[in-house]
Amino acid sequence: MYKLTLTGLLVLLTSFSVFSQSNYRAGSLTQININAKVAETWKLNTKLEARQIFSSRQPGEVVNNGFEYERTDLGFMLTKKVSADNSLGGGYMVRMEDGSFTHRLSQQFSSVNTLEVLSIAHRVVADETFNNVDPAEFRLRYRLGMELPLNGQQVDPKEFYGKFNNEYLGIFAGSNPDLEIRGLLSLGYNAADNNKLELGFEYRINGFNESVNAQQFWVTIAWFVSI
Amino acid sequence: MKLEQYILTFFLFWTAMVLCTPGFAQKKYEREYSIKSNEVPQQALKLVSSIFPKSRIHWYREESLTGNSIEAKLKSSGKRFSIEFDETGNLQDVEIMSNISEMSSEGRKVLKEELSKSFEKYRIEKVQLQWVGQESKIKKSLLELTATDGIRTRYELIIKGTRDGKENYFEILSESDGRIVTTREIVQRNTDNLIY
Repeated sequence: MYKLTLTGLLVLLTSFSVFSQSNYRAGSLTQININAKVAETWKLNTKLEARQIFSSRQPGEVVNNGFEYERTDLGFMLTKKVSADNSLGGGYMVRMEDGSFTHRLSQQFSSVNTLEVLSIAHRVVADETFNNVDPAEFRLRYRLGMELPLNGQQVDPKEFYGKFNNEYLGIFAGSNPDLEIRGLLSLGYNAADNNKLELGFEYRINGFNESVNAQQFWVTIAWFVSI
Repeated sequence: MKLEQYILTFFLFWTAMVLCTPGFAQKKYEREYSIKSNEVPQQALKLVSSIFPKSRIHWYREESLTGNSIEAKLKSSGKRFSIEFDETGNLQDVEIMSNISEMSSEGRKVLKEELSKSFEKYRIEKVQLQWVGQESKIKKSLLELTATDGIRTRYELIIKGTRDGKENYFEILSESDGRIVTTREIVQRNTDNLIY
């Protein structure tokens, strides 16, 4: 399973880099997630995420292989555990890009079910994004997540695991609704139950309302810490 | 941000991660992982293979501060079995995936009453039959698929229950007559990486 995940990751990385896409961005997504328990059933998630672009191409333009630090997101999400499996949350995120700020409010429902071996998560998010330039954007998202231990029946400390996410986003801005589909495959290392590191590959596609789809290829590094 | 600044940020990110990892990892030590059959004590291997010659057997080793054990997991006759041994291969107990309907109606009635006293509401998620006894008697029981004389039968239940308005998972160990022996709240695994 361990070898299979690594092979899958490599195949995805190489195949996507070989294909020439007419509208794409490729780079890295680095993310630090700090989760703190603030009360019996309340948790605060603080997420710092940065995007770096190594290669991109816009329709009708030549490929740009230069390095570009695209943006930094800082987000806070307060969640309340409403039952053994389910949580409700609300959050705020600020994005710093090209010297200007974008603000996002979000509302979230999540449900995580641990089966005999596999853990399955469902997440539904509604978010609203505002800035001084673009019209307000509303998104409705659903994400299915799965986590599989690569050794044994549960993810123990100092063990690896595989993670797969598939997300669908309905995007409403002005009079031009769009859909975005995301897929993530990553290899995780559980240093301890409160300290996980994930390295993966994420593919995104949107622009279904345009003549050419916009595609994104990201190498992801995510660090999850609970304090 | 220039490339140099990015490299510096990346370096700081990794340094922080590497420095923090050992501190977090020291908190608790409990681990279960799969092992190959050649790592299993001969006595355990021989016993399981003799009872289930046609089944595919998965072997696991569990390590904790209180001790280590070896576990065989397999499917046979439509049932799921977990057979636990100590490190030297001595049989400890057998657990068989079951259904609450396999408990006697009298036992179910008692168990239901006890659970209703302990929980505002509850739902049984999983039931395992537990057999403890001499190795020869457990072997006979496994071959006949019914507990023979001298085998102590208990039920291990995983329930989703509400106490003081808060819902959690609990592991209940009950006698075959429905009396509860122990109730233990299950500490749920950290799943933040699946939510955010």
